[in-house]
Amino acid sequence: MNLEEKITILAESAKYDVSCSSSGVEGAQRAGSVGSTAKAGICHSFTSDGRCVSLLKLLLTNSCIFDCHYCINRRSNQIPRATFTPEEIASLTMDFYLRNYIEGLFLSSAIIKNPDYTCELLIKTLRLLRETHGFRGYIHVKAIPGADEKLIQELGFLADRMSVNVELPSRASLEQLAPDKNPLALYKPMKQISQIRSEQALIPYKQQAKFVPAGQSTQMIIGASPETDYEIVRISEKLYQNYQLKRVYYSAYIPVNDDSLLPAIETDPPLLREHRLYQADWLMRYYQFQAEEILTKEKPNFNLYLDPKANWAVQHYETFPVDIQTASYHWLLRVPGIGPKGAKKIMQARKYNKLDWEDLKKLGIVLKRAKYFIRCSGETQFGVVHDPTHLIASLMSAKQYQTLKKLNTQSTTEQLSLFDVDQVDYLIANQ
Amino acid sequence: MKLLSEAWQYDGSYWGFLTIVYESFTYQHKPIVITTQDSQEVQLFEARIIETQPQLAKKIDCRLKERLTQENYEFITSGFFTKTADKELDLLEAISLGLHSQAPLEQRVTHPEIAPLIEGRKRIFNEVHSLTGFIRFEICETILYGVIGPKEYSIYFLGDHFLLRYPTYTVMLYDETHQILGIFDKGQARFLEDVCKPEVFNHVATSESAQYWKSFLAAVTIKERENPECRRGHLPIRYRKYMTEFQDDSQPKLPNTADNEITKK
Repeated sequence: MNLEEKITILAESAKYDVSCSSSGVEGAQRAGSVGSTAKAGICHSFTSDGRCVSLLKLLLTNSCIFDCHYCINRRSNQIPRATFTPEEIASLTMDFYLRNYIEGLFLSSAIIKNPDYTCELLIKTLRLLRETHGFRGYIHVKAIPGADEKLIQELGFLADRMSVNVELPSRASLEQLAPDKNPLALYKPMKQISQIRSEQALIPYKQQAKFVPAGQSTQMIIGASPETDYEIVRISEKLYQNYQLKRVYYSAYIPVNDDSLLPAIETDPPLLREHRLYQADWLMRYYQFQAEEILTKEKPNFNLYLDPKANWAVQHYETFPVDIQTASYHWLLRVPGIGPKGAKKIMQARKYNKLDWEDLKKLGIVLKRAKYFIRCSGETQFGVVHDPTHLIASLMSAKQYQTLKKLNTQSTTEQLSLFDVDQVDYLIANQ
Repeated sequence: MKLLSEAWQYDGSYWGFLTIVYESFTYQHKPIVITTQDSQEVQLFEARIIETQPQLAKKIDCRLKERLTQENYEFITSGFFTKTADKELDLLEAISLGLHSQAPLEQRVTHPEIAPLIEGRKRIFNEVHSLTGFIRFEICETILYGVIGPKEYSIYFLGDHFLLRYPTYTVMLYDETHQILGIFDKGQARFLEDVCKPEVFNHVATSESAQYWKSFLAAVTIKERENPECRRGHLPIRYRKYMTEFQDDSQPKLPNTADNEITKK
């Protein structure tokens, strides 16, 4: 099998791993002769599905001993199988890196023989890159659940970011759909990584090898199992709190296997739901929201028509409008149309002069959304109607509404619990 | 500062601009408009030519470095490379503000003269950030050679990144729009202005790597998620001309993807 065929097979198998970020490491602290890392990460290309390509995303092998129902590489699937040698991966990475195709390597693997053996192969590849080729660029590697702690530790010192995929949000679905995986073994490396990182943080600075400097991340498949959005958001919040994760990725389930336990093969991936989950995730990480504020047990699913922040603002309309000159950062962040950057700019600009509506426009505030929730010089904008149903209708354009309607996967009853569908329909039609 | 009813003209170089700064701040006056020799616009006033005095300009540069905060000094130097209209007059105002207060100029977003400079700088740095990812190099022994076609003078700001990234290689970057060749080598960035595209590199054989890269990109695409608008937002079409993955060997122009059809329309 030639190298090109191997790349095709093993990149194809790796593409369902969402993470492709190369951010989080500042300064090139590693020894080596080629490569650097940027704190913000750098995207090198975009695939036609609009996803960023920053890392050379490959599986070491796709011949797996496991038989997880949702996975394309499951043992019982009849697909072409291939395995890279560590040298092949190392030289391909170096070549692509010099040509500025990539920012680094993302290396994952199916379980070949047993977890320890797989982990050893990953270590061998990374050693080759770091030590023989002098590569000091970004490396993201999968921690193999079930592998020995010492091996995970060794891998962690060679990589910039590590991740263990939770895959399915709850233990019950995991037992049902990934019968070979031990749910407890999944969280063990996660715990180990966060422990070593926090121990390292206590040691005063000295020239020491950094353990997983860009932190760890994980991924959950959305729509393969019956969990509600509320449960998923709660799990993410716990992961951020307990294991200091940098990111939780969500991946809309794309039916790859014909299996009675999973959605039918023709089902469209729940992309809108995935989008809302990411929005909620951002609210938790950058907008000082708690999971309980975004969704509740009583309303466990997202309003697919409104983003979670606008939804929160509409539900708490009595607390608005806030005054742009005096509102705290926390409250500015709660206004739809103002993000962390906008809020910071407002805080800076209002030191110098009193802000009016024109200034806000210059600062990049989306007034179309924000005008319902803010006051400038003690007054709300002229002509704004203060009625929640009107508000919902005006937060969407007619075109957006039609697109969202098409993508909507919720039933009418569920929608009715969120807002008066007919009235919004009528108002948008007459916009 | 007194506003003179006259126009000034200089050679368009940074030293030339600093001579203007000297002229303006020493005599506490400024003109209505400042033009460069290349400018095509017809002016109402006859222009007074300000001759560039490199010695004086270097002195002014040192003074500015001393008197302004480092952040504000960088604001002025990078502000000079923006393509905003009347940037020289805006920069004079920015210097005067910077001399009176230590507050970062970057934050004066609502100031009528500073805001265009902030916008211009944003355009440069956004392009620089995109280019750090979208530039493609050919390997020619220890030289990495790439071509770009930027809108802004981004090439002056790309050196730091590539010097850090490839310390053992010489990076040569050619800016087709402004005909500038950047050479980043041994921790130093040098620029040759008004030069032709180096022809030496035209004959570098296209390697297998390009084919591997294309197969890799094709393999990581998820067809169920196809979204050309989203792709265009992140990777504007103007960059694609120079990128390996969009160069079809059989057709020298862009490959026939859904995105390109939209541009053709």
